[in-house]
This record gives sequence, structure tokens and C-alpha cells, in this order.
Amino acid sequence: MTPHHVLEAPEEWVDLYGDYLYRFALARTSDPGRSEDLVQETFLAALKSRRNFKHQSSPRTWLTAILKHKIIDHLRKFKREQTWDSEEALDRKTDEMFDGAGHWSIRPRRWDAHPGDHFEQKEFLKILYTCLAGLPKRIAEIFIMREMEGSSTEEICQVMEVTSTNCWTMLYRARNGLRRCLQLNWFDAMK
Amino acid sequence: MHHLFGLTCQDITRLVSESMDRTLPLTQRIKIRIHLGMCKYCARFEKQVHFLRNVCRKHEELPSATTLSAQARDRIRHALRASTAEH
Repeated sequence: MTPHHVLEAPEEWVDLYGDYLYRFALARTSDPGRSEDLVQETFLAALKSRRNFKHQSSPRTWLTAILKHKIIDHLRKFKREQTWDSEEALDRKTDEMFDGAGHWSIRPRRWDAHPGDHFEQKEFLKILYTCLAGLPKRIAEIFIMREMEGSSTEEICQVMEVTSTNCWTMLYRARNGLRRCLQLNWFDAMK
Repeated sequence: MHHLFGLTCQDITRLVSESMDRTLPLTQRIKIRIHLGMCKYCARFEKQVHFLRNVCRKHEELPSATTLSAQARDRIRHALRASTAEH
């Protein structure tokens, strides 16, 4: 049986999901005031699009998905010195990892410092989200749909209007970009 | 690690990523496995992109006692009510 979730009335949202969404935003931005605003924006956006609520996912999952996009948009605004603002720049970044013959020129280094305790996990998440915000918008969106929301590539192709080959390529570039961003900003920094 | 089966490290990283989004044909999967068994950088690449996936899917919630302040709660409720009235 497929689950059938019901979205509660908007006046109940703050009590039911407010704290959860606030914690979610705070862990990724470390900015209490901004996190409150993000929760509010999320509820307002949800109010507008509540007819799109699909009953297969829980209201919390649905609201969290909206919040994730709000967080990335927020981080993007504050990240002026973007490394990969264009898809072309990210393409070049991906290609430069290999030489003309397809051998590694920038080899992956070991990742030893896996985030351990609660505090480290929070710090790590902040960096992960900042790295995500540094990706070109469309590529970040596809990555979020695939790796955070677990959508299939078929679904992503439909929503984003790209071919599956295109989608696989964009996911490849997103994974590479994030991998290198985490390398520099977390794994190397923790040494 | 050189062009084993005509596949470079660059090809292998693409295929490793693609295998996370669709099921590759068996022969390709075998070629990838053999390459990864012999090439530590590609093997590292694979570990890292899988780590990335796990970390993205796992860190949905962090336990915490943090809650919205009473003022923030009121403000958000108010904004929601105002917006509901508009629609």
C-alpha cells in the first residue's frame, strides 16, 4: 500500500514543523536570525504551492525540500567569490583533473578526517552546503534532487528538461566539484 | 594505471559516477571493478563519491534541543496568517 500523507492546515505548521526546520537551517547556516527567516520563507512558499503537495511524501519531507532550496539560494547570495559560477568553469575544473591522455593530473588525496562528533558534523554540513552553493545553480539543483531527495534520473530529466546523458554528465561534474571543494575546505583543513 | 580495456582513469571516473545513477551492463561493471582493483586513485575517487552520497542522504536531522524563540514563532504565525488572508 502506498502511504497517503495529509498536509495539515497552515496554522498548525509552526507548531508541528517549525522547530525541526529551524534546526535544519541553523545546522547549515549557523545564523539564528537568518534561519528564522528561512523557516518563514519556507512556510510562505509552501502555502502558495500547497496544491503541489504529493501525498506519497510526508509534510515534513516536503517542507524540508523547499527549505533546502532556500538555504542554497541564501548561501549563494553571500558567496560573491564563486569558484564555479558558470557551467563552463565547472567543466574546465573537471577536465583539468586529467591530462590529455586521460590519466590523473590532480590525484584524489586520502580522506581521513571523517566528521565524528556532533559538533564536527554541524561544521561539516555547513561546509557541504557552502560547497553546494558554489556550484552552478542548475547543477546544484540536479545534485540535490538526486543525492538528497533520492529522485530517479528519469524524474530529474522530466523536471529539468534535460536528456539522461546530460543528466549523468551534470551529476558527474557536481560530484567532482563537491569532492574537490570538500577536499580543500574540510579534509585538508582538518589535517 | 594505463588504458586497461581501452578505458582511461577519466573514463572510469565517469562510469563510476554513472553507475550511481543507472545500472551499467555487466561487462562494463567487470571492467570497472578490475580497474579499481589496480588503480588506487580511481578507487579513492569511488570511495569519495559514495561517501558524498551517504553523507547527503544521512544528515537529514541532527538531534538538538534548539527551538524557535517565542517571538520568532509569533512572527512566522503572523506572516502565515497575513498571507493566507491574501489568497
